[in-house]
Amino acid sequence: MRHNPAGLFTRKTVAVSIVFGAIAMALLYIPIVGLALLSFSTQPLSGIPWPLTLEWYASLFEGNNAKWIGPLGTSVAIGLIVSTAATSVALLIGRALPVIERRGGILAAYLSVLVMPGILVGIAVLIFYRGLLGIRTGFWSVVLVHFIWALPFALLCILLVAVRFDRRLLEAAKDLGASRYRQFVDVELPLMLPGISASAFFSFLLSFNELPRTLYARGGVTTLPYYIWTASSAHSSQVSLIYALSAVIMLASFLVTLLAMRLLMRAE
Amino acid sequence: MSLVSATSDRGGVAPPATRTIRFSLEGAAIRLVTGLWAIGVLLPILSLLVIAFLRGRGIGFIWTPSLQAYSDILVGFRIEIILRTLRIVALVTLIEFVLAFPFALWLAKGLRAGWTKSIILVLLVVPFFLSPAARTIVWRSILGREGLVNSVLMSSGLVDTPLDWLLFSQFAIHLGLIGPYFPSMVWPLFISISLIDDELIKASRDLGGSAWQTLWLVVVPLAAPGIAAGILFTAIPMLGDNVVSALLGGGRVALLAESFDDLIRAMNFAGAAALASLLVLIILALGAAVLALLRRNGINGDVFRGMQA
Amino acid sequence: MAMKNANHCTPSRRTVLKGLVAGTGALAAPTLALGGMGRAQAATPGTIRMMGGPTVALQDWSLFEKETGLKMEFTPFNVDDVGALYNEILVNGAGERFDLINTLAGVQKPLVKQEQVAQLDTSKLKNYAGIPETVKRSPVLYAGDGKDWSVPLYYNADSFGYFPEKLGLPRPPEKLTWDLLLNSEQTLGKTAIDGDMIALMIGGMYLKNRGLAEIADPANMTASECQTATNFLIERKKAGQFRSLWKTYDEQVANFVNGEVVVQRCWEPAVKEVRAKGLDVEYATCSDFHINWMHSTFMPVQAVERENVEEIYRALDWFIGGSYAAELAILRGYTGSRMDLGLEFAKAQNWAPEKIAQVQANIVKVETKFSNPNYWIGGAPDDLAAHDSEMARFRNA
Repeated sequence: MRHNPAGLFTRKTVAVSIVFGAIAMALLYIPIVGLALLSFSTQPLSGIPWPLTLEWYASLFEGNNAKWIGPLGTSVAIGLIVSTAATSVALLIGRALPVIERRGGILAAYLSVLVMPGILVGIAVLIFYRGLLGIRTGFWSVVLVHFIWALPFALLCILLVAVRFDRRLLEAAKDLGASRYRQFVDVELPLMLPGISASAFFSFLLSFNELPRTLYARGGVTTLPYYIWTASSAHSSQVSLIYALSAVIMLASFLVTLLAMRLLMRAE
Repeated sequence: MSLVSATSDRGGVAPPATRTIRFSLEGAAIRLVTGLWAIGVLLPILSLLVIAFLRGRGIGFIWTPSLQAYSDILVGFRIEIILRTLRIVALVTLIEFVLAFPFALWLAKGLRAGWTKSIILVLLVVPFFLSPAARTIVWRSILGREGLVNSVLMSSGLVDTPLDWLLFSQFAIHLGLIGPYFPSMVWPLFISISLIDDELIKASRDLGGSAWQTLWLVVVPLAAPGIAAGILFTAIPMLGDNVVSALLGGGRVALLAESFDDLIRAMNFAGAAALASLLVLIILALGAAVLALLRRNGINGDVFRGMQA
Repeated sequence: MAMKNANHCTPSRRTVLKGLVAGTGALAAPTLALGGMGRAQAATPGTIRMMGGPTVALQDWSLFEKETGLKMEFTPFNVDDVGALYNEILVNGAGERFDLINTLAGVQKPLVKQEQVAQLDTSKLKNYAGIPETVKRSPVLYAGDGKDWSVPLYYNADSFGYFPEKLGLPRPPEKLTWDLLLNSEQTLGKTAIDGDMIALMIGGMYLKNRGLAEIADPANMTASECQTATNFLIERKKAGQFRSLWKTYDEQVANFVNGEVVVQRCWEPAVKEVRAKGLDVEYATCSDFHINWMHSTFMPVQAVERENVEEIYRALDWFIGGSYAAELAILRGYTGSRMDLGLEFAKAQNWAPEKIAQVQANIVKVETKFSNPNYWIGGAPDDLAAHDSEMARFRNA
């Protein structure tokens, strides 16, 4: 086995690893598979997948029900902005952090916001910017609260690779006459790639699913989680539509991430 | 933050030479961003904690300095809720780690790149896209009185009456939390283990180390940043989870996130801020305790050290 | 019903912003001019922009468009989260973006005090006069000032759903009591109740009705009354009465469908939906009391100066007309404010007999249910903090 460095794995330990993973994956996917099955059920809340119907999928695209498309676009747009911004800042801070002084304080400054409950972060932004500075909340404030949520995690992703990056490689590149820009692009970036892609992914996903911070910072913006939250407050069940919508998003995200993953692996 | 500590001289490996930042442009950018972060993010959040010392009446705030919010919050059942939440989060995080570490090790070092690996990794991403409420409520039809599990148990004659503790119980909450937070633990572990050079592991074996010694003395220390990140990635969002307890606890297991939601709904911002500062205080105390414990056992808390071997 | 927590103290945009500033004033940052405030967005003639709970919305607005000649642009909002709703109106200036705002009746009262609500010129609403006085002057709508602020869209007398066959109990209109839900050996461990402070109010109503405690107004209890109600509920919880506490509609439906409960405090549409799934469940008519609530709609003060104000009145009048009442009775089982016109409409349209029967049932419902002692809920108790912390204590017990 080529990928078994020095026999770290025996048949038994591999089996244990796979069994542990399988248990957790089962707990993760049982409700998801259930959801996918129930999205074809005429009575999704009954927990019984039959009789089968495609009604919910068809109605997803009809009239009022099709209103999720706008919020989906908003969420994707905000996610992409947050992902780019958080990853860039995390890269800037993260690659310098292991070698600068007072790094403990700086790291604490960026990570400390994590322990604050999300809904309070939204309110803090609302009070500070809307109340104190009189700036209207809206798209930008949603991006801001998502950025606050995503940055610490993005930073952790970058740090995972940055702490292992051997700075002597840069010295070597410099000795060989590489410009500062080429040192970064040709030497540092490729080695940092796993951290960067993880950071980009996580920032996007944290933003995409964020609700509590969005609630108070949203102004008039409707994101997908907010839309679903509003829909589920209806006194008539939206569950069937939400299930069908989830199943559609599941399939789409599976294909998109699979494609991204293959491209990344090829890049490596 | 156990990640952070002053550089001390314990531990074997010499610390990497700290230096002032070479590129003035980069240094300026870091200072600018950190300054903006402090003013635009930390300041608003800290100012919220000031509110805890005021007496607010809904959103028509009548502000008078007061300790009322604290005396309202510092009652037995609120403390109970905080401690219960921390206990559940700690236990589930530990379970996640036990399940995720071997799996991440195998994914990173035991499985070669290919479709299997890609698909497993993608399966660890897809759940993040899905509405937590939509997938959590499905557990009800599995764990309920007439759910899948009880139907199987009853028809096989193992039990006569349906098991009530499967749903609306602490058991249900633990079970419901394990799945969604598993990827959060696997990812950081997977990344940091992937980065370990195979040669280092081989060298350890060539020098006569057993598989366990290699794991303990080479892999675990080198994966330490991933372990720390994994714990943060898992525990922090779990602390704010208001879906699983609401849908699977059935009002029998009160957790912290719901308390915050309710206080905000009642527009008791002062109370929410007081509860938050209490939570932050308890987390800091726990962090300090863990750090002290690690120190006493000779483990250095600074993950930056010894990582550049 | 869906009422969550609101606040009775007096919020206005100005006090809110002042409050927000004062709250952070400790930081002594300069207060900049509140740019862009009070700037009304231009109305689009021919279009009504309405914000409200998804329950208010019809599945399609074609009847509205046909009968009024206007277009409906409906923006759903989670009006049950009253804190978020006040935020939307007072901080986000919803009045500038909408012609009509729907709330749970009672929630608008503090907004009236703060001049966020336009006084209605009821002479422009031809259907308004026919709304029963008991509805127009109900405590959730009427502020005691002789003025009309908010138009009632529909109301209901809430109780609980139950399985008559499983329990061997009669069907409505035979009357039951709340003992079945709160205090019964037969249903021990098989009931469910609201997970928000309405549970406390129900406890208060029960105690008051049975003469077990002196409670002036169960929908607006004092701190000590609140504690009494909570102690009673905790005692029942400890006795194992409740299988679960719910917060959403979906949970109510799931509780019935998954066999978790035999009796459940719930909203009427949940019973309707469960019955549509083929289960034999009924919504109780009670001999002791009902919980009354109402949804109402007001015109934000910013709308008065809009050029389409006549159109807004036309739209408002449509909501208290026959077609909305009839359609809503079918869709949700709620009682429109002019059920008489609803019945007329259904007959004129030659609706199927069973649909007409459904509309008629609402008229009968009012006659039977509203003859009981009734407690209106809506808006929020004055001592919100006490309700909130007592509710947390109940949940934690």
